[in-house]
Amino acid sequence: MSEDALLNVRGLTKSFGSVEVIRGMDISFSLGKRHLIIGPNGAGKTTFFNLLNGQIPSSSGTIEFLGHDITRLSVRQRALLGLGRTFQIASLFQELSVWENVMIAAGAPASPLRHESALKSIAEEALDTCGLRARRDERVRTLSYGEQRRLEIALSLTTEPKLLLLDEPMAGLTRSEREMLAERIAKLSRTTSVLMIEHDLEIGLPLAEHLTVLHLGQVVASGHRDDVMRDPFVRKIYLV
Amino acid sequence: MMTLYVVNGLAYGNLLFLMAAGFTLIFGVLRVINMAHGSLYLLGAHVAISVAQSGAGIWAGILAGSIVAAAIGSIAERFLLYRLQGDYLAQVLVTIGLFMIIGDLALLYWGGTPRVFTLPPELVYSIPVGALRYPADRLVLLLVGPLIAVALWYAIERTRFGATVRASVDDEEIAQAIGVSVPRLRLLVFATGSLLAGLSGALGATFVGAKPGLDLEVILLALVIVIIGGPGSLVGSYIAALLIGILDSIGKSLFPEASLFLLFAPMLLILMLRPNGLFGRPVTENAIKPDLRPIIIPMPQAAIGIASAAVDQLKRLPGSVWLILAASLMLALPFLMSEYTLGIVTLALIWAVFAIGLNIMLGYGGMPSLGHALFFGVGAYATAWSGLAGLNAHLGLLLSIVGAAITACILAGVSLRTRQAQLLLVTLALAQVVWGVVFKWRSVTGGDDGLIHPQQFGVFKSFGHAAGSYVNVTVIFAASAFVYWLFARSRLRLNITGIRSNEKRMMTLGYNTARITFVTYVVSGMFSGLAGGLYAIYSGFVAPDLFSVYTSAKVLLMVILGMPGMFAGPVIGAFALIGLEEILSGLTARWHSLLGCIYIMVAMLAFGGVRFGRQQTDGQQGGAKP
Repeated sequence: MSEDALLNVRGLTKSFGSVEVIRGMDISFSLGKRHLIIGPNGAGKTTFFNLLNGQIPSSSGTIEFLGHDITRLSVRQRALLGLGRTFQIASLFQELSVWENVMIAAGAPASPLRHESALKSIAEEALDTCGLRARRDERVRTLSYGEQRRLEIALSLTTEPKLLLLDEPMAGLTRSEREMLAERIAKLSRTTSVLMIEHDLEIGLPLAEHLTVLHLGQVVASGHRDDVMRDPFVRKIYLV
Repeated sequence: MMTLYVVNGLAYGNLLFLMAAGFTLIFGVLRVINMAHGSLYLLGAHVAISVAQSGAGIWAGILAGSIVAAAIGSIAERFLLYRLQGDYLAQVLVTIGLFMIIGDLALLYWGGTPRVFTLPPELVYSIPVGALRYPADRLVLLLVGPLIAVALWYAIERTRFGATVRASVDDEEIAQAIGVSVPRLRLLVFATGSLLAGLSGALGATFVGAKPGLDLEVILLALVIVIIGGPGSLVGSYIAALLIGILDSIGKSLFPEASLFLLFAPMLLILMLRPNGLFGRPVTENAIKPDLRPIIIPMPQAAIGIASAAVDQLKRLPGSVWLILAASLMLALPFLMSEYTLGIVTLALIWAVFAIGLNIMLGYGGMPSLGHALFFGVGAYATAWSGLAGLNAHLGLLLSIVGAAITACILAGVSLRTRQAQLLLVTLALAQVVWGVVFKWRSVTGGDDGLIHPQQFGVFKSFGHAAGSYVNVTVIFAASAFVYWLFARSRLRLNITGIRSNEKRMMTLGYNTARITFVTYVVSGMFSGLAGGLYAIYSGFVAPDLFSVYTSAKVLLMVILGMPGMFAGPVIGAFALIGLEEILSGLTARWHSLLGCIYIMVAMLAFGGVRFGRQQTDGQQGGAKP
């Protein structure tokens, strides 16, 4: 194991009844890097994320995060260690205002310890991140889909996670929204490592130096994106 | 002797099962907590007795009792509950309304004396049990009980119809998709459940009989059984019913003072160890709310326009203006009103503090409670005892807050493991337990006579009784409202609202959601406890009724009336309901029925079953929103 190991996954499996969705996954991700995860539908990408942040328990295997064995920790405990995530379908506080949403994230226990007086400026910053300053007092449910996605990501960034799991952040966004978001991700501080699931390779690939391909619950290729892209098997199953 | 207790307990247990089976069926399949279930039981018993006494015979009586209950249940489902699918709070309010109406009308029609049907001599048999003889009519239950249990089990677990029912519990959309008529299915389930309520009432006509208050007792027993057995589980209900039947039979004869406790101890134990009961599964909420077209009460366009413009204008007034208006009104009131009316205002202020407590939990936290009377009652008794112990009123009120906080701390572990409809069930049961204990534990609580206590407000005595109480209560109300205002601006409020909105996301942000809900529950209880303390001083008297479901339902209705989660809502709700009660009780002796109608109307209006709107001229779906 290298010293800059962010995440070490060994022999991870997950089955639902007799269906094995993740089949003995071995992979490690290194600190400070941008990783892109791709794979056809049903490859187990979102399940993999759910296992990583503890949304669902794994059937076997271990997950090590920054040297801690987190396999049996709860979602909350993992969050406190610095593991943040966004959801495929925006998971916001729909009945609350935009401002209340960012305030909840600013004061979250997973965020770095902040003085009460600093919370507001952190929250203001988050408003700028998602470009929703003008709509701060509106309820989230009145926002457009693209705006909700942006808020979703702003919330995750506010806690300054050590590792951010982005589950299809670009899905359903317009061209210009995608470019804006890509720019935002590119500008992220290198203290935050990123693991991203994304179908849009055109916009996803330039963001990541590392590429991992999942197929039927297994890692079929992983490494520097240019090497992986040359892999004949990868070309066959995914890129053709 | 023991054999007799056991046989008696088994017979009674089978009766309990018949009664609880309907309740658990309706809750399990439809997620409706049918508070009118006891009323249908009572109705079944009354009708059976009347028909049997008219000379038609006991069998005709049993048939009539069952049919009447089934018919009334079906009507309630088709015309009221069906429109409120998915809103368990609205449904519970509707059934509470029915409970009040049926209880009141039964009292009017059949009077207040307990009625029992005496079997004609040719039907009286007894069979030897040990050294004693046992009446055969009760043994009929030993036959009918298991028969119906097996029939129900077979129908639900082994037939195509049962499979359909189970499928639509899990996923109503799928049921619709495979061509099941959910409305008809709901009606059938409700009718069956109601029929069982009526049947059990009729079968018990010869020894349990019918009397006012029996409806509430029945609900209480049904709750205990359903919670022990596991909501929705027939097998669980059967076992729990036999257990409770035997415990009750032994308890009543051997330990009369502790008999209720004997029933509740197993329930508490189960709640602590297995929150879903012996055979229950975790409740999946039927989140799907069918897109029903509300009943539109036509209103002229101008009226709607004026009303919404007025509301908009009022909303724009800054908080300071409201504060000054409210303060001057409160100062002026003692000079404007008679002592009597001032007393009513004082009472409304006390209830407002109580409703603020529930709004913190329900409105901001989204956690329903049908047991907030528990905190109110604890606060009231704490203050009453402080008076008897010679402590002053301030200390008494402090004790009421502390007492409620301790109660909340103890019960949080039991109740907060469940959510939504099941939480409603559990909070209701817990409050009923304490009600039962207070009712029976005469030496400490004065039993149903209550306690008269000397506690009085220590300051503003020179104002006279009514004005003195008013000033004291107003000052404490203002202080509570201030704390409530701080709460509304606090991180706790933000966090609990976050949990209500998206608990999963709160966890991924690292929030300890269990601790936040716990603290909210305790804070909510403290406000309600303080209100109880104020009420004890105001009335000079405390009684077990403070703990009853009436109290819990009333405060729930206030919060719903004022729109849960709206800051001033609980105060508006309290004044509206206390005022309404005052007016209605002056108008007619049947004001309980009228109040019941109000419960139903509020539920229908607040949850979108009925709306005010423009009359529709075209055939388009959906009505104009107000």
